[in-house]
Amino acid sequence: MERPEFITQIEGHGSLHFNWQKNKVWLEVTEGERLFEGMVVGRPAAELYWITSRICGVCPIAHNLAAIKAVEDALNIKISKSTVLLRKLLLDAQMIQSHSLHLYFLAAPDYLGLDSGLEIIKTHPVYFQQALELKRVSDLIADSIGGRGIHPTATAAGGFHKVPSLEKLKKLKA
Amino acid sequence: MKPKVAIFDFTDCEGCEVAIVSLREKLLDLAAEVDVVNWRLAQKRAEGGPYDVVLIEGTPITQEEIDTLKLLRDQTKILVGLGSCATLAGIPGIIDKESRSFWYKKIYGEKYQPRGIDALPLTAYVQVDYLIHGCPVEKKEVVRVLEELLAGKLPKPRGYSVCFECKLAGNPCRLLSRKVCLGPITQGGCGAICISGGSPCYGCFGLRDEAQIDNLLQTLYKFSDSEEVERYFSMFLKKTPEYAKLFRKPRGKNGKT
Repeated sequence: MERPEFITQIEGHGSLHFNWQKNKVWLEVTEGERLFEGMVVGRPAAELYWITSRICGVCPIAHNLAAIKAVEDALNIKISKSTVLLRKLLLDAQMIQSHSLHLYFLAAPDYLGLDSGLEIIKTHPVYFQQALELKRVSDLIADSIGGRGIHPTATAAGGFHKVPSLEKLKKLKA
Repeated sequence: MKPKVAIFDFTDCEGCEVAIVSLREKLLDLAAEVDVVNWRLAQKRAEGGPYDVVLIEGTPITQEEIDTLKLLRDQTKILVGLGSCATLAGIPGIIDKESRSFWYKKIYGEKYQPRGIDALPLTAYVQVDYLIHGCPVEKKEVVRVLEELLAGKLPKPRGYSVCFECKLAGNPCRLLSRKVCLGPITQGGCGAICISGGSPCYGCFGLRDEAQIDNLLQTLYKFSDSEEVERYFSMFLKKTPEYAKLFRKPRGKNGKT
């Protein structure tokens, strides 16, 4: 028996199909091809990571930093220790952002038998507040270091266009 | 009766929907005022039309997406484009129709059966009532537009360019530092967030009304060349009529440039 529309609450448009008789499972992607490989050809290195973050709006920072790392490797650019630390913190923010979104908003409703993540406020108000808090904190870190939580504006090959002020960093601790 | 709202997404990164989720408490407020009857990313409930407001994110690239778009147009009172992929074709629009087959083969192999036709904005196929530009959309703009729609008004774009907000943000002017910038011809509303972060403005908020493109080009060509300027325009604006007018070379008889 096939069950299409099985995993719809994901970033990207696909559905999982399975055929029990043939012992087969396959993922069907239904969205159009964006052809990122073609977009970046012929452009300066500084535009590559600007474009690749747009691969995914749930984890744009990861795609942005991966492309920055590739450019730095290719051009043999050495980066400072503080750049590494700031990028690690930025990536951590992404992890919390993306995982809390996935857990509370995309996956939990399935496990709890709810229609949407917004309903958790009624069934599990304490957890819902935790979800909001995780989202708030991770967005704040990502905004402060990356310039913007979705599709960073401050990251660059070789370091950062702009680093957060000490004041901003201290606020994150609070 | 609460207005029936539906959110659909075509080919894209879904960052604009993530921006909506990032509204957090404000999203709960907005959701309480409407009946969200269809939102694939966020809920199982998926009702058909008719709708009062449909938000569409992403670029219609496949035939199925184009058909769905036309169907949704017929089923809703108000159709709103959400984010630059929908409103301008944005990042997917970087790829021209003519070069798609080359990249299909190069990326997916000779035997690949493509789904895509062309990356064009929603307005290439249907009439759209309002465009919320941005890559991603600015959260405050989404709230403003939705609140105005809920109040029964049809929102209007910001009547000023990115420069206005860039000045407010206290950024040094890129043009004065001889760096290419599309801020002067781009609709405001973003808060000049890219320039504040140290990145260029590629115009993801779309061209403002009465954009003085020729005047900007005159300034840009004092320190840049047409190749670089075209590259800036090609990031989000490649499928706009203005891009075609400025940079498309006239075609020869055999259709080749």
